[in-house]
Amino acid sequence: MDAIDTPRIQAFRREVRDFVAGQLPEAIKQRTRQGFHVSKEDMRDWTAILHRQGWSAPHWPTAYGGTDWSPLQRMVFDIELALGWAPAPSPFGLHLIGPVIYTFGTEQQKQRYLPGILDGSQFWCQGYSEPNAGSDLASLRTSARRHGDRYIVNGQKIWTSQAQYADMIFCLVRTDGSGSKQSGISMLLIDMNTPGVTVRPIITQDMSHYVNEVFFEDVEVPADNLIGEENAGWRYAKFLLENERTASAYLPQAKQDMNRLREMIGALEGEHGPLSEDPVLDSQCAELELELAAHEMTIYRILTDNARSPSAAAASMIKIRGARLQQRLSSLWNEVLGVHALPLFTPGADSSYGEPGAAGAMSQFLIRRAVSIYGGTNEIQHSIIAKRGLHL
Amino acid sequence: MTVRSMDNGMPGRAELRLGLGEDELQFKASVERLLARDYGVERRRVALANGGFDPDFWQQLAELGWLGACFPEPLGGYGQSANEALILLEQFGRALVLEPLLGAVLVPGAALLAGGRADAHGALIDGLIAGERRLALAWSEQGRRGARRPRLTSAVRDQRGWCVNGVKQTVLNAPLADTLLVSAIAGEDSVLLLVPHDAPGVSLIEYTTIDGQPAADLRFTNVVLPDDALAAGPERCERAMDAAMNWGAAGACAEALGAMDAALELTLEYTGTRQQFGQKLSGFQVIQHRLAAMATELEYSQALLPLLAAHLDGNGADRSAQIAGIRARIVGSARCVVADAVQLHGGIGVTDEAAISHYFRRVTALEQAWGSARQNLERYRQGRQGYDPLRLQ
Repeated sequence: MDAIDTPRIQAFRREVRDFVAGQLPEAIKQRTRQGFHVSKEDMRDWTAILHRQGWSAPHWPTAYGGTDWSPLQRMVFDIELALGWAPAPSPFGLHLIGPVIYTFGTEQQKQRYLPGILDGSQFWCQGYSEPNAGSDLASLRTSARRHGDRYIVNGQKIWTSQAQYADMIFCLVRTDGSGSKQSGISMLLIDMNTPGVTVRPIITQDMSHYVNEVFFEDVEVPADNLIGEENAGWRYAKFLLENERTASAYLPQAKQDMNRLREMIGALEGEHGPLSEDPVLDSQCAELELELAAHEMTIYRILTDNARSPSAAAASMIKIRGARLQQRLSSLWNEVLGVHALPLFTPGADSSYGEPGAAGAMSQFLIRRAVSIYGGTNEIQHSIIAKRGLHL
Repeated sequence: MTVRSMDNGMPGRAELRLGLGEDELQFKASVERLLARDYGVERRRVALANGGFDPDFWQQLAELGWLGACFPEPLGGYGQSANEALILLEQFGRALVLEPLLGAVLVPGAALLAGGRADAHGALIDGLIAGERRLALAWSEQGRRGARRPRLTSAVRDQRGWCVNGVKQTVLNAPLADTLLVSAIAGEDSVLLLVPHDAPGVSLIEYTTIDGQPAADLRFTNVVLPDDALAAGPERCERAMDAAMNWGAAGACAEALGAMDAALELTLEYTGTRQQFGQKLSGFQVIQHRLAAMATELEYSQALLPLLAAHLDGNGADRSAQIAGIRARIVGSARCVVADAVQLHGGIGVTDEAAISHYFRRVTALEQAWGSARQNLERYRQGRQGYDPLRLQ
């Protein structure tokens, strides 16, 4: 394993830190600090700023506008952005469909879609889950029938994050129902403005609108919008899901969340003096720190293992543990705030009440019950580790 | 019932009874029947949309006499033992009743009784029992977690009576209360004062909590009160706050028990219906084991309820510590059970539309209201006098 705290990495860290301090608009920073879901405008504007620096997609190959940074450098970059309270850009273009397009897409698709993802002007969403195809994703039923140079799409997707912002959706659709469940699936890129596409909000328990249902009724999609080969969609889907799990490893945000925890503790007093002097709480923080340290080192080890992309089992491991950390950290915010954790806050609402710093945190606490569910539940991830890691 | 047990002259805890008596079982059945018949999802939804309160339902509770659960007979209540109130609250937790029996009546009522001036506030107590009046205990302050001794609210006594200044934060049910029971620092001491919500100088910023209940931050600016606004003087204030918090903790336990029971039932139903990979979710062993662990957690929590009732009815020296410990334990279990319930529901479990998410939010609120679970564990750690549920000599 390579040294990871070299002078070169330290210099790089400082460069990124200075960049964030100089370029991140104060208003966006303050909103990110609050902790609610990032707005479309903030994601767009910050991605554009990163793009001007050539840093909006460090993980892409240089030929497509990425960087030649090592995986470790990219993680350091993400960590510095999070610690500087930069908003996370929308992942659906940059992390999910972008790599699929430059790996499997046609020249025309690359030229048409990659620039808008890189500069943050185009938003994407992910059409995977359906009401009856959640963990059992391969049983999806949204159909695409070929008619000359078009597909006609009918069906329904659910849990579609940011569909209300999106210009495009990448969809898994059934193009053949005759063989095994996995074999008849294709991946289509669909313009959200096509007639027959309807988005309906789902309100989550934090009372926010982040996820949606997306309905397709005789939606005409040019056949050119097919990714790769017809009926080979499951392969692209798996490629993408593994990227998603690695991206969900939650290291940069965990460090941000830990800072939030320390700030909260510093601002409050308990029954017997400052909370910062409460030994029980401090011991809980200590446990979390150690868990985070193990998570962090595991990720570095995976990233620097000859720069290979992580195995499916490793991706699942850090997905599970990242989710657990997110839930534990936010539960501790809750505990630190006591009764002040209870007011319901929604983004943009009147902030004249409640404990400073509580608003976004509690919203996060509530929505984070979903992190062990989306992108493959913990139960599914454990099965992947057993099957592909332990060959059981 | 608090008073009864304090006055009965018996030291320590009240008799530990496993299971309920005939009357109590009948009472439980009648509560279940009423809630099943009259407190459906739709009624609750309407109440949620109207600020988290249904006046007709409250009136119905009064007419049934249930609002008198914590007041002894001489004061117009029917409190025989803690069991009645705990039974009521457990069923309220099951049905996710929004209306604040605990916050508007039982918790402040316990403070009134223990404050030693209940006789002076007979009309208020009558009003509470009749459903015409409601209280809110205003104790929590900004920047302070669970600190019971007031610091940011002061009361000064002069020839006009009391003058109150300061702020309270996250006061549960305050928007529903006609009178606020406010803790304030008076010189070196603390007092509890009854402040009419519309007294000049009182202002509220109202909002709802994550589980849909009304709450507010309060500001008092030169609020002038008569002498008889005193609910607990310096010598009784700590005791009154203890009584209130004991009831808050016990009530939270009872509601959490009902909530986790319902959450398990909903999850069994969901996993028994939802199909993935060609079979019911509850057919997968990993799901079965999780459900089995939830059921075990529930069983263990229910078993503690008689011990809780015995401590509530008693006057042992470590009564508050014992109640706090049981609360930490039960609510901690409830947190795990509802979190698992959400997990087993999958995506639907985190939506506002799904009943299970309301149980999750309610248990989260119960965990933090009236002193958080972790803080209760600390209270138990410091205040317990040995371990022995049977108290054998």
